[in-house]
Amino acid sequence: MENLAGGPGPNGETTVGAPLTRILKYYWVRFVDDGETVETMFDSQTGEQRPWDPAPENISKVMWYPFDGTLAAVLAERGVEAVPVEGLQPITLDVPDGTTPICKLVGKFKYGTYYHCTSCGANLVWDGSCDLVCPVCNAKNEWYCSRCKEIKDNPKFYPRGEVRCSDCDTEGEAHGLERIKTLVLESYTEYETIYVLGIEGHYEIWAGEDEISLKVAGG
Amino acid sequence: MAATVVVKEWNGAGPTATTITLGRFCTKDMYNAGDTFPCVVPASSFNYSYWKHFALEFSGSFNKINNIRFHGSGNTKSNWEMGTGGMMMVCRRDSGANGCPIGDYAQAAGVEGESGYFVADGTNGHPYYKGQTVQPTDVDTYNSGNPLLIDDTDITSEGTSFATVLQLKIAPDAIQGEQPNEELVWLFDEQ
Repeated sequence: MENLAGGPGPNGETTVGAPLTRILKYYWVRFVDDGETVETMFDSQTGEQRPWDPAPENISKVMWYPFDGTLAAVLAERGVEAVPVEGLQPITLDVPDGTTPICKLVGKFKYGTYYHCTSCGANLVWDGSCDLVCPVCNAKNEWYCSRCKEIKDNPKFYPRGEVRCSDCDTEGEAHGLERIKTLVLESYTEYETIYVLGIEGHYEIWAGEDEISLKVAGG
Repeated sequence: MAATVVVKEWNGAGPTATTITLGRFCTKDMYNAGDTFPCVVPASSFNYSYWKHFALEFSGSFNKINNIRFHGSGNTKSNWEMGTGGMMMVCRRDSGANGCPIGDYAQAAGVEGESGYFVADGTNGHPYYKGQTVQPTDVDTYNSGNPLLIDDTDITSEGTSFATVLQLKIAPDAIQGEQPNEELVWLFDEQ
């Protein structure tokens, strides 16, 4: 069980259920093997986006290059969210002769759940390896029998959501249990942009927020 | 050029699309039934949740979005302890993309409060999937390195993707009650 500060999402997101917008940190730059032609994803004067395709056949190098403040401001005028990040390094791929580079953006939209403790306000992700208990205040969800007037650990589940006291059942008295719910299920969404570079038919490098992974072509 | 995205659940006859703030599998065709209409562990055979349609809805300004893929955590079956043979299932097609276009949407049905109809049932199943040779399969089959293709059309203006159709299959030895947290992930190419 992982205790997560902030809220309402486990990573402190404040946009649960709200639309999430792409925010760019890099733009592509490609160098053509003629020693002089360099093309970029955005026009530096107007901010207009250029499509990757059709790409020249003789590309020698491709980069995901970090935004500076000037270009980010030009893009903001067009409604494109780009952020300059201090210290961010370019991601560079040298393209071997006779190969075709891959350069694309992949959106990753994640929907997940977590539990919120209404007793102490903690948010937690429960992996099921232990009982569902708040790691901060030890609160847990419980079943209460108003006939026995005590908490019950062994409820009996029936169709249509009916939950009965097993002790009352044994005594021939069907009696429903009340749920005391301190840990409530909540959800979060995340939208991450992954910057991909690779060589067609060989491999792709996926650079995300938290990790860089290598995907090798199957065979 | 800045795409904005939300995930929607489709319900009702229409369907009605609701932005998900809390998705919950249940035994009624409704968005977030809360603690009512929970999935029920059967005495024998299998019970099912009502099937769910989850789709991405894109707005804002963008050039093109395509190649929408889906995967789960890879551990849903063990995390949720749905019993022997139990699992979260995702629907597939014999060829092409596996998602359901909104024009082929089918409202989930079953015995409310008890079990949904099996999504591939020859009589009561989802018409877009029940005639397929391939059966719905375990979501855990798919992961970040091997996601399931949901939608291969080019989305060039505001609109919805095909829906990922999911259903829980619950065995008699499943564990009733609250379940551990899980994640659903969609990937898509952007321009």
